[in-house]
Amino acid sequence: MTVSIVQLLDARKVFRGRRGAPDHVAVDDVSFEMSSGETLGIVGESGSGKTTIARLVLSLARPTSGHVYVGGIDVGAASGAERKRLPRIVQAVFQDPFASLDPRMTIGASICQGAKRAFGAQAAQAALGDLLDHVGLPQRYRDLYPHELSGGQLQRVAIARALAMKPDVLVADEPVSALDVSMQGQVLNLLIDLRHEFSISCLFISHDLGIVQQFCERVLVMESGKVVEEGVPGDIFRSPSHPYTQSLIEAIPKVPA
Amino acid sequence: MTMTAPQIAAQGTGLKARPSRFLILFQPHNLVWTIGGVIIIAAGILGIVLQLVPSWRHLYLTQDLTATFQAPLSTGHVLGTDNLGRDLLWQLIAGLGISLMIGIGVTVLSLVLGLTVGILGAYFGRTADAVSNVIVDVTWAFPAILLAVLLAGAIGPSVTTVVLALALTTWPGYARIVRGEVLSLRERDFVNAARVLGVPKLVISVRHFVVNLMPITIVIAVYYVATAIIGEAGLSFLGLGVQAPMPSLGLMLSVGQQYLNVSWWPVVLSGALLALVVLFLNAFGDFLRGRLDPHGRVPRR
Amino acid sequence: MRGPELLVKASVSPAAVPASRPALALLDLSISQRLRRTEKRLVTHVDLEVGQGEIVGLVGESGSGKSLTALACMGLLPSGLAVTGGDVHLDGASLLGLAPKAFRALRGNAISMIFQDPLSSLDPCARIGAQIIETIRAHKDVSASQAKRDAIELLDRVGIPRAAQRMRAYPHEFSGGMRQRVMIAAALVLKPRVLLADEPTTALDVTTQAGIVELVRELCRELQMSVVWISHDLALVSELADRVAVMYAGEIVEVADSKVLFRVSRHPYTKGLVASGSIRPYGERFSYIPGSIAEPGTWPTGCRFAPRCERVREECVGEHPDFRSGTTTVRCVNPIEYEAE
Repeated sequence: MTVSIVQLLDARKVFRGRRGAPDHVAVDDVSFEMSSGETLGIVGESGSGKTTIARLVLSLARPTSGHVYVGGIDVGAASGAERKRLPRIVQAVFQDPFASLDPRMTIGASICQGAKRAFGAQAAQAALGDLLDHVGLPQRYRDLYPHELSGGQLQRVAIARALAMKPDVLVADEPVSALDVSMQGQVLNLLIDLRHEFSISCLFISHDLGIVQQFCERVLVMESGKVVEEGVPGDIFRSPSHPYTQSLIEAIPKVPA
Repeated sequence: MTMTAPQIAAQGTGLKARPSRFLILFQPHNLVWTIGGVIIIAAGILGIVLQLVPSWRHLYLTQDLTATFQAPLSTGHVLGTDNLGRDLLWQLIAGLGISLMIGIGVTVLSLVLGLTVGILGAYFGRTADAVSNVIVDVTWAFPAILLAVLLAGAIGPSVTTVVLALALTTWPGYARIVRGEVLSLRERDFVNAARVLGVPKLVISVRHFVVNLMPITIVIAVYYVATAIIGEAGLSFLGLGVQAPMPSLGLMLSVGQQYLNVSWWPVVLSGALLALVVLFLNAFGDFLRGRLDPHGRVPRR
Repeated sequence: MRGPELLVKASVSPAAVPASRPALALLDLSISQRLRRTEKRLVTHVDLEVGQGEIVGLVGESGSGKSLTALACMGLLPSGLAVTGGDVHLDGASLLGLAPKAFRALRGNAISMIFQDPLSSLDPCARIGAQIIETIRAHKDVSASQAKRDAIELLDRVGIPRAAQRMRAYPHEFSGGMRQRVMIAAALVLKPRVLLADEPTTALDVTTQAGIVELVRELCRELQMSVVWISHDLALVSELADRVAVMYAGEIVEVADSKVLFRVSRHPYTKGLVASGSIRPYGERFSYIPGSIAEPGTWPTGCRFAPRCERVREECVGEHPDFRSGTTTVRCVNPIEYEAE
C-alpha cells in the first residue's frame, strides 16, 4: 500500500449566496485519495467543482467542512509551521499562462520567487539554469518579461516555477486549454517527462477527456460537486457506467469515418 | 526533452524595437506644451534650490523701500517689484518652488497613506476592510479648510499645517482606487501562484500590488500635485498656511490684493502663474493617462 | 416539425438564385493593418465559396486570420484594418463596394454573425424579449404584438424552454449555452442567407456544444441557410461541416470535403493538426507541431509553414506555393500523397 499524498475526506465547500441568493455547494462531500507518484485526472464541465477541488488542495480556499490532507497535513487546521512546509509539498500550474505570471516581473525572478524563500537566494539562482534547461527554454529568457513570450513558452515558465520548489504534488488546472491545439502536445509531453524524472504526483484537472485518458492513470468524473464515476480512463471511456459520463463522451465531436 | 533549446529559441516572438511612447512629446502640435512644461519645471526646480541654499535667499528677500511697486520692465527688475521693493520675478520663482514642494509633499504623503490603507482593506481580511472603510469614509467627509483651521489653532499656521491639512483630506480618494484595483489584482493567477509558493502577504502586497499600481499612481500623483498647489494657494491666502517672509503663490495673491489699487501686477502675475502651472500639470496628467492608463481606471479631470 | 411557419417561408425562393451560384463568395480577399509608412498583411488572397445551404468550416489557430476574414465579410473590421484587395460577393453581388448605409441594411438581414462571447453582444440591462422584438421591428414593418409572437416562436425554435416566460428574463439569468441560443435566435430574426459563426461554442461545455451544433445543422437544412463555422477544433468542424478550409498565417492552405480531410490531409499542417487532436492510448506521447505560428509581419517569403514543417525542401523556402488540386486542394509544393484507394 503506497502512502497517500493527497486525501480529501468528506470535503465540502459552500459559497454563501449574496443578497438572498441560495448558497452554492461547489464541492459536495467529496472523498478521494491520491497515492504518491500517481497521476489523477478530474474531468467535468464548468460548475462541476473541479477547480474548487484544486483550490482546496492548494489551500487557496478553506473547506467549509471535512478535511483536506496534503502530505499528511490537514490544510484546514494547519499550524503556522505546517503551513510553511506546504509550498514544498504542493505546487500549481494554472490555466491562463498570461495571467499566471506577473507582467512586471522578469521570467527569472518569477521562477525564483518561491525558491529563494525556501532555499535561499543563492541556491535558487544556481538552480535557475537547470530549471530553464529542464523545461526547454534558452538561458537568455531569464531576463525577458512575460509579454515577450508565447503562451506555450509561458506555460513552461510556470512549470519551471513550480518545479523550483521541488514539490511532491503538482496541481495542473487546465494547463493546456488556453493553448493552440498544435502547441498543447509540447507542454503535455514536458509534464510527462518531468513526472518520470522527478517522480512527481500530478492532479490533472481538465474538461478534455481525450487528453485525460492519454495522460492520467486514474480519473474522477465530477458533476455538480459530486464524484459520479471513478476508474481507469480507458475503461471508463470505452464503457461509461454513469449516464453523465455517457453524455460527456457522446458529446465529443466524432471524426467522420 | 521534446525540443532542443535552439528550436524553442527559433519560435520566440523576440524583442521588437518599439519607438518610445514618449517620442510624441516632440511632435509639432505638442511642442508648445513641452516647451511650456520645461520652462515651468526649470523655474520650479530653481525655486526649490533657492529654498535649500540659504546664501541665495537674498535674491528674493532683499527689500528696497525706495523702489516699491515698480512696474514690469523697469531697470533691474524684469517683472517689477512688490510693496516692499522685492524683485517680483524672483518672488514668483521662489513662490513656485514652495508651492511645488508643498504639492509634492502632500502627494507623497497621500499616496503612502492611500496605498497602505487601500491594500490593507482589500487584502488583509474583513476586519481590516471594515475598519479602513470607516476611516476612509469619515476622512473623506472632512473639509480641508476646517482641518486647516483646527491644525492652525493647534500648531500654528505653517507649511506643515498646509501639508497635513491637504494630505489628510486627499488620500481617501486614492485609497478607494487602490482598494478597487487590488480587489481585482488579488484574483489574478499570478497572485494565487505567489500564495502557493509561500510568499507572505506583505511581500505580495509590495512586489505585486504596489508595482502593478505604479502606472496609475504616477498619473494620479500628477493630478494631486496640481490639486495641492491650488489648495496651498487657498489656505495661504486665508492666512492659514505659509507665513511671510517665506514666499508662496497664495501669499503673494493675499498681500497683493491689499495694494490692488496701487499696483495690479503682483496679483495678476502670481494668479496667472498659478493658473498656468495647474493647467500644465492637468494636461501632463491627461497625457500620462493616455499612455499609462489606457483602460481609464483613473477618474478623468 | 416543430419549426414555425415563420421560418419556413423565410428562405429566398430557389428560383431567384441558381443553385450553381454560391451564396457567399470570398474572392481573393486580403486584409492589412495600416501602419505609419507600411502595411502589415494579416490575411492574403483568401478564396472561398459557400453554396446555398452549405456549411463550410474555417479552421485555424489563433493568429491565422480566420476571425478577421469573417469580420471583413460583415464590413466590421476594427479600425486601422482594411480590405486591401479582393471582394466579397453575396448572391453574386459585391458587398464591399456597397455604400455604408446599404451595407448596414444587409447586415443582419441577408448576412448575420454570432460570436464566441454572447454576453458581450447582448445588452445586460434589457430583457431578452425586448431586444429581439427591437431587432425585428428595426428591419420589418410589423405590429408590436406580431413582433412579440415572432420572437417567442424564434426562442422556442432555438430550444429555449418556456420561451414566452423567458422573454422577460435578462441576459445574466441565462446560462452560457442558453445565451448562445438567444444570440442565434437574434441572428436568425431576419432569416439571413448567410450566417457567420465565430467560435460560438468555444466557451461552452461539450454537452452544450453538441446541442448548439445540432441546432445550427437543423436550421441550416430547414432554411437553406449557408453557414461559415469558424473554429480551432478540426474534429468539431469535420463533424458539422460539408467542406473544411484550413487557414494558416493569413491564408488558406487546404480545402477539402470534410469526409476526406481527416483521412487524407495532404498539407503537412493539416496533418499535424489532425495528429495533435487525435486520441491515443494512456502513456503515449502527445503529438504536436514544433515551433509556433508566424506572427503577421514575420511571415517567410516562401511557404509560411516551412519553418515548422518536417517535409520542408529547398523549393519551399524560396517561392510562395500556389494551390494544387487532387483529392484535396492544397497550397504546398510537396503535399503528402496517398496510395490510390
